[in-house]
Amino acid sequence: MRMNWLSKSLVAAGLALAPAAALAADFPTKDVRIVVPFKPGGGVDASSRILAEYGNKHMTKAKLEVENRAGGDGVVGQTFAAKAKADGYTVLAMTSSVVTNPILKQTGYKLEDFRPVALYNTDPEVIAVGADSPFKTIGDLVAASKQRPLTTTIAGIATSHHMAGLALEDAAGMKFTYVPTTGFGAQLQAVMGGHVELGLFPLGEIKKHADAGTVRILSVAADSRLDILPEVPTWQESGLAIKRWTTFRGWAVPKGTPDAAVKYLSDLLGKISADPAYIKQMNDYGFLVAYKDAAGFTEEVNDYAEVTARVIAKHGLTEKP
Amino acid sequence: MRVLKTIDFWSGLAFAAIGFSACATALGFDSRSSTYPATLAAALGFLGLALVVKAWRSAAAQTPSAEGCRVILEGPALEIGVWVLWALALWAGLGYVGPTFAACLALILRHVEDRRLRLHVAQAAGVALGVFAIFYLIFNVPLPELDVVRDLLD
Amino acid sequence: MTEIALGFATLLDPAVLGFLMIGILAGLIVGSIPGLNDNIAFAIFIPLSFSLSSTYALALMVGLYCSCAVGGSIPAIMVKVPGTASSVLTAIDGHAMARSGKAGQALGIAITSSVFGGVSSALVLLLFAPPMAAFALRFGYVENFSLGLLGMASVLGLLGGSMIKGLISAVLGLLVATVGFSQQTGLPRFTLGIDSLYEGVPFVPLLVGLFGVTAVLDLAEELIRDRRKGATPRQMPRITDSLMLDWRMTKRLLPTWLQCSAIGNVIGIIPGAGMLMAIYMGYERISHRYKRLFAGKPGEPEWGEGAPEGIAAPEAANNAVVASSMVPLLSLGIPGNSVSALFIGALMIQGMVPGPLLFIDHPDIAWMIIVAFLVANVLMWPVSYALVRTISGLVFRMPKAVLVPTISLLCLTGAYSDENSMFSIGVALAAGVVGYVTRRLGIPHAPLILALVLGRTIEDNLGNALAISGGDWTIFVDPVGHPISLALILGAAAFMLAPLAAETRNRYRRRATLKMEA
Repeated sequence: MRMNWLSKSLVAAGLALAPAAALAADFPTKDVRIVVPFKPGGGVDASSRILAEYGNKHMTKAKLEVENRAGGDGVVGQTFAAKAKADGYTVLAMTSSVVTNPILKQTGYKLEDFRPVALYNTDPEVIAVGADSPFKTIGDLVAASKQRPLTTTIAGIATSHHMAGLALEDAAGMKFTYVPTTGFGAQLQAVMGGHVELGLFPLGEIKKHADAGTVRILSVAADSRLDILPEVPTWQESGLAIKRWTTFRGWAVPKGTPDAAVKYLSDLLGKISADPAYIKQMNDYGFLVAYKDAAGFTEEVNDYAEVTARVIAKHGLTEKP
Repeated sequence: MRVLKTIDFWSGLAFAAIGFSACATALGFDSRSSTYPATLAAALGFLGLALVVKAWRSAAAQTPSAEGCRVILEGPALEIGVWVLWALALWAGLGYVGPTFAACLALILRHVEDRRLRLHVAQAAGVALGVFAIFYLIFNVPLPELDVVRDLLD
Repeated sequence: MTEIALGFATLLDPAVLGFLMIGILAGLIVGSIPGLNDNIAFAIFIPLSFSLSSTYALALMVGLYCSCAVGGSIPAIMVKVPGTASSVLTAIDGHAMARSGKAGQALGIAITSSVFGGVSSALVLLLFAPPMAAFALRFGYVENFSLGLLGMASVLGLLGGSMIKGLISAVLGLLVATVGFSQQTGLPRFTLGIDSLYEGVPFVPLLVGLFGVTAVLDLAEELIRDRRKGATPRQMPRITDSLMLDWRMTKRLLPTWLQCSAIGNVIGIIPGAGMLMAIYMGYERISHRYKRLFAGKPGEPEWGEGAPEGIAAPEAANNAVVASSMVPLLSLGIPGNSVSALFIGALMIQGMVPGPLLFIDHPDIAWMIIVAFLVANVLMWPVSYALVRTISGLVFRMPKAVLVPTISLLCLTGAYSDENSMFSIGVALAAGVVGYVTRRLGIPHAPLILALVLGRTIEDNLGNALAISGGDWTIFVDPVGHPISLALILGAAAFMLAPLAAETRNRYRRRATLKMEA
């Protein structure tokens, strides 16, 4: 009897363990939520929703769901994701600010709390002026900026775009007076209305307006000329001595998430990124599709961390004592 | 001292205290971002003092009556108290529907004379489930509901 | 002309029209529920625009955007709890009028004024978008600062009673608006180390607390007061009179509608100025007109105690902002306010970007949106009239003991859904307590609310304008470089002085009448 009870217990324990083992192999068994640390309507939100739409075509047992956790300029949602259960069912829509926020602000998470899954989009920085601007080429602008500081609209102090400006001052000897605004719409208003002399933008936010002819892109911070902007020189070609300055969007999960889940999600992003309909929809808006797996994404994150750390240290941007 | 019995005297002092302490805090900000809030805070402090002076000069005593205080305690203070407890329950992870039902029932019972308990339980349940349905089911808001209920609805 | 025809052709597809109708109905309901607003509802429609065709989703959003403010005026009038921020002033005269047994008239005025304001702004969007957009572009940092100043000056005209308390209210609002990171240096101020305060005190929960929770606390106080007196609790007003406006009322309100629609349209097209500013400016202007022409006459209540103009002015102004806020978005790609910014999201998901290119690449969609605003505002009239009795009956027939906790719950859950955070509930509760206490202290709320809305605009634009001018303050009154700013500054000065002059004149006139009667 006693043996029997023991063997029964063992069988029961085996049964209890079996689903746990199956869980790792059969990821996902329930819906995966993508935490967007911003309100609906912005670039991160829209690209996450586009991803979820296409991703769901490749998923049979569960779905991708977008959940907005806005506040604190992204910090609230990022902290939420960092503290979530490390089971792969909570994914952070990771942007470059995950790298800089813990350095610049008092945050409840560190960059190391995340495990990069994959990258799906990079957005190079561009220098843009209004359609009526006297600066026709990047040469005109550089020459003028060496005479006197040019008024430059950026999407906020200590953002990647502000740091791009500071890096340009260091590398190319340009001089800027920064005019920070909240959001890209207000920046666009300032550039189009001639209230400032130039703006530093991520390409995705301004590509369509350049197509419409209301603004002019003078130079783009990419490794080489972009297919969608063949006439626009890179920063390197323009003599600005900065090879590339890009922000990125990707997925990250809390540290300690099982490899199987990371691999599944990473492969899923790879499959989506190969879908021609997806590529067209992203390009329509001005987002460049660029897939990198977990290893490639980690490298990208580390590069960005290194470059920005230099600017932050040199210009004393951090609020921390 | 009749002035000590006026509301304006005490509220003026409170605003002065808030204003000057905020001003002290604001002066600790970096130089480019401190002028504007420090000026405003100082203005608030002086306006508070002005209110004190005015109360002094036209001291018409307006002691809040004991009756008035009781009304505030039993009405608004109780209402807020219940919702603060409700918020704490949500924050502690007790789910949404349960604490909501309890809060609604408590407030309904507080405000009615009769003791038709069954009716009021039904009303509280109706309100709690109705609002839950609007926000969680129709508007897809990720309310802090227990996983058990979430799974049940999925 | 052919473009307009193209817009109509797209819109008149029965399915598209159907979605427009659903949007109007949904807007009335969402607006009339305190704690829910168009911002929150849009957040759900944006993902919907994936599964729906883009024309359907956009028609739905246009309908909802137009009718939300009308819905908000229903609880404002019936229970004195504004359903949306846009009806915060409507609640004052509207509820007073309803208490005097004219709930139907009050609702009728709100609906008709909204339709008038809405149609006027739809026409501006349809006919004058390009020149208006060019005008909007002239608003830079200098002009926006002066505009903010003008807005604050306009509220001074609303101050009755203690000037000191009014100023305390305004300064308190401006001070609370500085919470969060400093735009000039990016460093946090007054945040107490809380992440959620970094972008400032979350705005939707703050307003929900100040309007909704404060109003609920007033209701709770009234309930207890009645009970302790041994009286049966006063019931909410019901609609007993006609909803239709007679010819005399229409003729009387026409000048109010015209003036407030004009104000709403101009404010609406300026990116970042915001709906509340238009409402306050219109309300202030009309209050002087009312005091000059009607106050003190037999059968006319005092301003704030049930004046028809007190409903017509804010309702015409708020709907006049709706379509005109789409002018900079559609013509330039610059969002006019936070709600029109959400249209970008809906378009973006379809790979479309608002701006001049939309009219080249997708003229059918661009013109459909424009035409839809006109049609939605026209349809809104009969729909609101048909539904207003049902909505106010269904929701407000509940016993008061149930109604009070229901409104609290809706407000607090609505606050949560803004950022899906518990912190927002805390903000709403705190704002409710502060609102209730300050009201008991006799601090008027109008300056506080406008200061909260305009505080950031004023400070940030001041900082940026001075950065551009190199610290030169004369930039704001430069007649050559910034004539608009000079005009706005002069306007602000006039706003501050005019109430004083009018007050003296009225007092003199009233004294003269009294003497004659004696």
